[in-house]
Amino acid sequence: MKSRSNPWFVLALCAIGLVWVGPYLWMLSTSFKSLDELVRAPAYPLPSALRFAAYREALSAVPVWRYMLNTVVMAAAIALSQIALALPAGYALGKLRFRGRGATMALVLACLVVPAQVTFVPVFTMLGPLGLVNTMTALVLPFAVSAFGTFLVRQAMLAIPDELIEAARLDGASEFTIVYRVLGPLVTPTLSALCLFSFVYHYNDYFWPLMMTTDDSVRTLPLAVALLREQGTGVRWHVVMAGNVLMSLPVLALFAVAQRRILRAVTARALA
Amino acid sequence: MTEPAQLSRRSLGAAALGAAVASSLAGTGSLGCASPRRRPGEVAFWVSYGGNNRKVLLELVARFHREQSRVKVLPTFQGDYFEGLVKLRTGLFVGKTPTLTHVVGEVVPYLEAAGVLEPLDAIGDEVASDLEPALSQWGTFEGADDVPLVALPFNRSTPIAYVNRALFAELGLAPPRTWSELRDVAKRAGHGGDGATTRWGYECPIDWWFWSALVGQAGGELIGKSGAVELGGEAGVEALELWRTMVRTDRTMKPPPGRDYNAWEATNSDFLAGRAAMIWTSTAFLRYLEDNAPFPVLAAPLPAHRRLAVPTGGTFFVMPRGLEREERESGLTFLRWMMQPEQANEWATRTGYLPISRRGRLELERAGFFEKHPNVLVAMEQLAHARRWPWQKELFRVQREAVQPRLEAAVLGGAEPRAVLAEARNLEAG
Repeated sequence: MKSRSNPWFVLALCAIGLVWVGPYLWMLSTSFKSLDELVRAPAYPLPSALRFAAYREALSAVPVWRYMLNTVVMAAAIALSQIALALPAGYALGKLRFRGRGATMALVLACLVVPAQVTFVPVFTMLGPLGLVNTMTALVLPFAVSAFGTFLVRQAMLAIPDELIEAARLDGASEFTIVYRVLGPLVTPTLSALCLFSFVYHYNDYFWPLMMTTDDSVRTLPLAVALLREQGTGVRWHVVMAGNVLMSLPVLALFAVAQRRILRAVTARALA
Repeated sequence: MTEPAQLSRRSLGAAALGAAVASSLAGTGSLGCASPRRRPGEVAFWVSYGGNNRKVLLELVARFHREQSRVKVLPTFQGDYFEGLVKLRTGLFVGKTPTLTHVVGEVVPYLEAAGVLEPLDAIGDEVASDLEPALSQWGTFEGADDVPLVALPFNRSTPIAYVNRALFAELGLAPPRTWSELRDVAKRAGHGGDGATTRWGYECPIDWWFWSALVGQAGGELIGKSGAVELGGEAGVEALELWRTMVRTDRTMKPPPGRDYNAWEATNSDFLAGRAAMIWTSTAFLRYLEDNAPFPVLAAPLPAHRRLAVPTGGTFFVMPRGLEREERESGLTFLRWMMQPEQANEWATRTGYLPISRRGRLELERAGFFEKHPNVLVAMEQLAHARRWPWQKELFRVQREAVQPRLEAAVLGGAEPRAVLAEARNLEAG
């Protein structure tokens, strides 16, 4: 505790914090500048005045609210699906004994290193004939199961004593009850962390929604920001930055609301 | 224990319903709902534009809808040119194609050879004969005389030089007309040195397009008449040597950071901020640079070496093959409308792309447009020296896989230009 009051330690923390917050502040500052100001002194950190013209332009240029609703619904659906399916998968791989368990775990780990850019063509060709391209299903279904989530939950399950599961079985609990009602609450910190990682990752995902959607009805916010960029005729960075600020608001709001729970979850995982 | 149990039930319920709720809330129907088929008269138009270009395009489409009610155009952003192309190719594979899209010129021969483009001859002679020759399919490609019309010009451009007119006047400089003048002017227009350069004399993205311009100026051909990939031969090496000398020996050229369009943006920013006295970029940036530079901007043709030469760029409208007749007709109706002088001119004058209609150009002349915007005339007159791309299906692969990834190594790294181009040729031959 003593080291934390050390001014050098505090200074170092502030410097690290600035590295993280700096780009966001820069984005915020740029969004209030005029293009003329950006051109003349792009490195100057503060706007000469608080201008909201870039926000008005961003909001009028693209259907931001529609895209935001799509994005939140998509990211939330993926996060909830991943939690629901990672629990039984992690339980099976961590607590059940069956032939091929090691190989299955290896397969799950292998899935961690396969990026979406590799799988999108086969997935597209599967979803196309089913008429699922350009639906929310095409955005959610391929990510409903998470190898990362399965791995995380499996690791958390390993820390739970087998006796607890045996006791539940003796009390007549079904496997369903054991997974969701007995073990689920015990791995809540892990599930919270998984939920946050998943939500933020898919909230920010540009590639998959771009490839799987063909009109505005299911498009997501990162595509809206891309719409603010001009290809071939010059970018007006203040408008793009205004779009980025708008895009970051829901995630910041999520963090503000769930801050205590998230920090507890991360701390618990670190101590586990 | 109560709270976690409730949380678990909530999670379970939400998870089970999550995907279904997602689909219905987002307005796309149930989980298994097929993507809606296009209604009669609907034209799905995949575009690669955001920002001002998108705004102008949407306004044109709105006007098209006001003028008629039979055809409804639905423009949808599909990422940048190359993301859009990936998506088009995937869509072609699974039969999920738009009615219309636009693609970079270099990929048209490949798509045509693959048999996935609908001939557009039905557009009519009136439209086809009105196209600016250097910007039409036949004027853009060499060896395409027997190929049916499959591509109509949309946003077409050429590389061009932009100079800071006030600075050049102050220094008594004129835009360079030859490569040797380019080196000289770049030296005199720059300021500072020895790692403390405050203004670069010349800046240009290390990009295939500008390198192609240099190759043409040095008298080379990218692909020979026999179809062999030459990459300019000695001219290709000379082109790389020019940049290499200006970057490493003269220290007058700034290679912008970043790749692809990020490098182009950095070039613009440096010019607007006065960090570069002269840049090479696309004619498409003309309006943007004129509107945002705190100094008068002068456009100038690219310099000659053994000859004047400039490639054309930008995109063409294409229509995927295999559409229903009615959808094809609807797409053609929109294309015919877009090719008319009024629309072609509105697109060109509000974006900076070149006017693609000859009648439209005459109208602009009559209205005194070029007197008010002499920089546009420079771009148009430069078309007299436009070099045609070879109509070879390998052209796009040569660009994206063989040449583009190797240019920086030759100009900025230690690799020898001759060896780099030989490697690129071998890759293509292999």
